[in-house]
Amino acid sequence: MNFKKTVKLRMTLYGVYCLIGAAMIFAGDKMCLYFGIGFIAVSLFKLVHYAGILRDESAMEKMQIAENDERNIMLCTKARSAAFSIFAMLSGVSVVVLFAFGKANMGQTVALSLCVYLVIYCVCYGILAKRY
Amino acid sequence: MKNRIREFRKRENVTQDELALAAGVTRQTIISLENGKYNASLMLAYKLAKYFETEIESLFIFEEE
Repeated sequence: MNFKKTVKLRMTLYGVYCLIGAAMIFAGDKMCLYFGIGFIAVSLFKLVHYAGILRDESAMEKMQIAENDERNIMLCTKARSAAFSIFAMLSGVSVVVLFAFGKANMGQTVALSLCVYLVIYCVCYGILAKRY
Repeated sequence: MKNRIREFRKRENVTQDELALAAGVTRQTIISLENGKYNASLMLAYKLAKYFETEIESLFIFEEE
């Protein structure tokens, strides 16, 4: 898929996010209203940004290079890996703290989410190991 | 892994921007390569060697730790 199509696809996606945001504003409570406004603001910002990119060939080429840059990809992978490790560590600590302070229900929720995260990691690792 | 990218680039009178564009990477990647902070993938090493019309071995120097 060429990059122009990718950008157009992303614009469509942000258009859908805009609609979701509008639906949240009209359908939900106060919390949904704030989320809806956030959705629309971010989506509109991205839509304007991508519209500008579509009109400027050199900007599009620069963006494509930046997104496919191997150092950038390596940095993203390392950052994701670090975030996963930190999240797992913090979750482990917070489970102990929550149980210690008698918040068993919250502790169980955090522990469960950590377990789900680890299961997803194992499944992804298995799939990738088969592929490569 | 050491490299002689800066040396080759200066010899050929090429800017970091031009080299980055030719190799399909960002200028920051070229800067990191030249400063020895980042090791290029095999694909990028081939592209750079091809650009300078040389062999990978003369552009990248393998050092056993």
